[in-house]
Amino acid sequence: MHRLLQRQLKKARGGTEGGAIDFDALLTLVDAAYGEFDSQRRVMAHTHNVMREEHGQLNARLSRLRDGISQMGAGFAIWDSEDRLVLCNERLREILSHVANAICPGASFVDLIKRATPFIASIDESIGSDEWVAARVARHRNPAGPFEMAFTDGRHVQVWEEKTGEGGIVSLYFDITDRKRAEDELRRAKEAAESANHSKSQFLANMSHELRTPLNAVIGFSEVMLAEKLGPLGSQRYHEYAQDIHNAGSHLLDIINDILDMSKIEAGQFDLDAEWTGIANLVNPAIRLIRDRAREAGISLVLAIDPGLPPLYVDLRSVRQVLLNLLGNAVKFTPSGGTVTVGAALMSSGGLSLRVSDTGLGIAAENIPLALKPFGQIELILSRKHGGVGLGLPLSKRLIELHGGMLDIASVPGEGTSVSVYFPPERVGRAAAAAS
Amino acid sequence: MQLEQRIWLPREGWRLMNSDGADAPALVIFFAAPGTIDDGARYNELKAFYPGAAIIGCTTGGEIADTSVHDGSIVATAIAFKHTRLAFAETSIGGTERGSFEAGMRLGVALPRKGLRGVFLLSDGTQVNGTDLVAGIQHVLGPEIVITGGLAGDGSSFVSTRVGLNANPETGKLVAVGFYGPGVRLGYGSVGGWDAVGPERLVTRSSGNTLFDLDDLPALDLYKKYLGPEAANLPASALLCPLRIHPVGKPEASLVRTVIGIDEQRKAMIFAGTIPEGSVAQIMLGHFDHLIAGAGQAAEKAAFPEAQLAILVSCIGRKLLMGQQIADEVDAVRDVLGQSCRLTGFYSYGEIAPLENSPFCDLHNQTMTITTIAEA
Repeated sequence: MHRLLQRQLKKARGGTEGGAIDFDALLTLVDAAYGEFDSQRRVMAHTHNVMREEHGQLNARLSRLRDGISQMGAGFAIWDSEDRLVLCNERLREILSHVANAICPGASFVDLIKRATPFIASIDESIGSDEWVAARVARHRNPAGPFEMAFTDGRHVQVWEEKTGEGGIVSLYFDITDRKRAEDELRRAKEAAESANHSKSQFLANMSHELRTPLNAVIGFSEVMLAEKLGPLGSQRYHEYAQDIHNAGSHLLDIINDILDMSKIEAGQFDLDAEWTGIANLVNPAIRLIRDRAREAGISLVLAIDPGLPPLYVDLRSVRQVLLNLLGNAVKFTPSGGTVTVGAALMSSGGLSLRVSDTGLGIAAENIPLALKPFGQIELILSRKHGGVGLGLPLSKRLIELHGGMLDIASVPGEGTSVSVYFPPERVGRAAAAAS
Repeated sequence: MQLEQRIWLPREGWRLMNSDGADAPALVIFFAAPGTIDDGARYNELKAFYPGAAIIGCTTGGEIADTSVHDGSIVATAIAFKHTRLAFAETSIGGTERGSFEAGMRLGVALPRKGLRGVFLLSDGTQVNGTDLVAGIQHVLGPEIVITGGLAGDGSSFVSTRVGLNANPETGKLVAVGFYGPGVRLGYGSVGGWDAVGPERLVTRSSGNTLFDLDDLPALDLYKKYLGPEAANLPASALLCPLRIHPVGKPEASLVRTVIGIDEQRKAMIFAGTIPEGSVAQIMLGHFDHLIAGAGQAAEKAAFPEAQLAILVSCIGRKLLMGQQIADEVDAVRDVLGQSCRLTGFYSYGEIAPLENSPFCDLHNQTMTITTIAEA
């Protein structure tokens, strides 16, 4: 008799083995058991359907994951806690092409690494390949961030490894050969460019120096001739020629000095020799040097500088050179009857500006950036009439920038040009100091 | 150690099941169907049978007498020890938030620590947080003392349970008995036998013992899908599908949690224990053969050759699921422990035993939990 029926009979006998059977109670128990079986069957059938549905969903999820993994641009591998390959994609075999045949589920990581060792270029000569394998396996078991490997065929691979929840490892292999190559090319190009720029500056500095030495002889001897220190030249023509030699030499020396300064600045070798100085001490020497030329050209020079302005902490020679250059340009490009004005003003920021403005030809707005570029074309065009190699404005700009300031050109063609030079507050002293 | 077992059935009253002829039992453990002990008459009869004994007992979701499973009975086991001494602790559940933990601590403090070999615990089944209770008593006694037992039951009603020590059982009570002396030997085993089915899902939103989302989808919807036609009987039918959780950061440990309620509006499930966010959860289904085999495995863990008494604390969920076939799991226990070991027990609202592979006790759901006792 089925044990359930035995139990039902026992219950129908009031819990005893031999009592009288209560048939109503027995029927109730048996009926209830049939009901339980029916409901159990219903539940099982339903659960079976749910499981089938979930199984389908899991399969769909799994194939999505498989799909994703196989389409990855990186080589992908999962290793179990025993370091055996569980899953990988084709890309992994492409990247680790030397050992592709050995890459299959169940393969041991140590075995694959040993096989790969002869093809790895980045093994340090000082350690043996056994040691390298041991270190690689240790790193694999305890990942410590990405690292790179180079193969003997010139390819580079970046490896990412992380622990999985069940004590295994997930690995990603990226082929970074192209990136490496691009990086190398970029580095080489940068080094070449730096080297070329340095050579250029060095060449200019050397050349300027080499040119200056003979030029000083030319200028010096022409001065001796002009002064007729060793006796009269005789012909007036000789005197004029000597004067021409002297003028041309001096002009050439100015140009060479500009080139030398510019190349020093570009090579980062130009050091400012700053000191405190009054505005007048900056402006007056430049005015003195330009005054005769202005008078000869029929141009009036106007000085509009408040004597109470504070002193500046600047490189005296550089700023005088800038002012002389700006004044020279102003006089050069202003027709007879015009005016050149030198002004200075304290700014609300605490900085100070010096301004040289003229009533000359002016520069078209689109030509201003060119004028500020070394050997800018605008001046080359103008030079045909006025002379110069176009270094004056760019050099002035760089010298002012070395002071932490700015040079700004405002111009209206046919009306005139105004060049402003700003010095930042930290180069401007207190007004009271000007008196001393 | 000598034993005597009695059963009370509505139609015939008390009947002696077996007796070793002990004259003065020290301990009587009884399990009573709800409603059978309300008037105190049955308790007084027990007291009259065993005048010198300490009597502990509780209400149930079904009583186990030998290999029979009853509803509406009372089963009592009287134990006379040769050398073993006993100590008792009794408390009531407080109304505070940490009431269960504190009640556990009070029980622990009341049991002398010297010579203590093990603790059997019976607790109110509807007002007590079993997880906190076990943590509280173990906080005092330490992890080396094995604590087993269970939460009292109320049939399949989940309304009101009773527990008592030397008095007719009352609601809100907790009692513990400590076993002392070198001669007493205690064993335990706790196994569910449920099958985790379908995919593992991440607990993406939960709060305390309320579970909102698994894998960002409402937990209630998932349960309804699994229950199908049985979904109409929620929350009772959710007993068919307990939830296994792997706590955060402990993938090797697992706990089973029973559904005790649902929240239709928030599409949430309420469990008989906390469901921490970030845990990995998997729905479980009960295959009868596997549940029965699970009971046998629990017996194997608890078994030792001299074991004289086995107290079976099995989950009410198993009984509601298996119906009349539930007695098969008791048969499975008998098959393992043999005829020489007497069986008693009850269907509970929560089982107490150490976690597998861990000294720490915890509240279990859906298991067969067995405590075996012998005295040398």
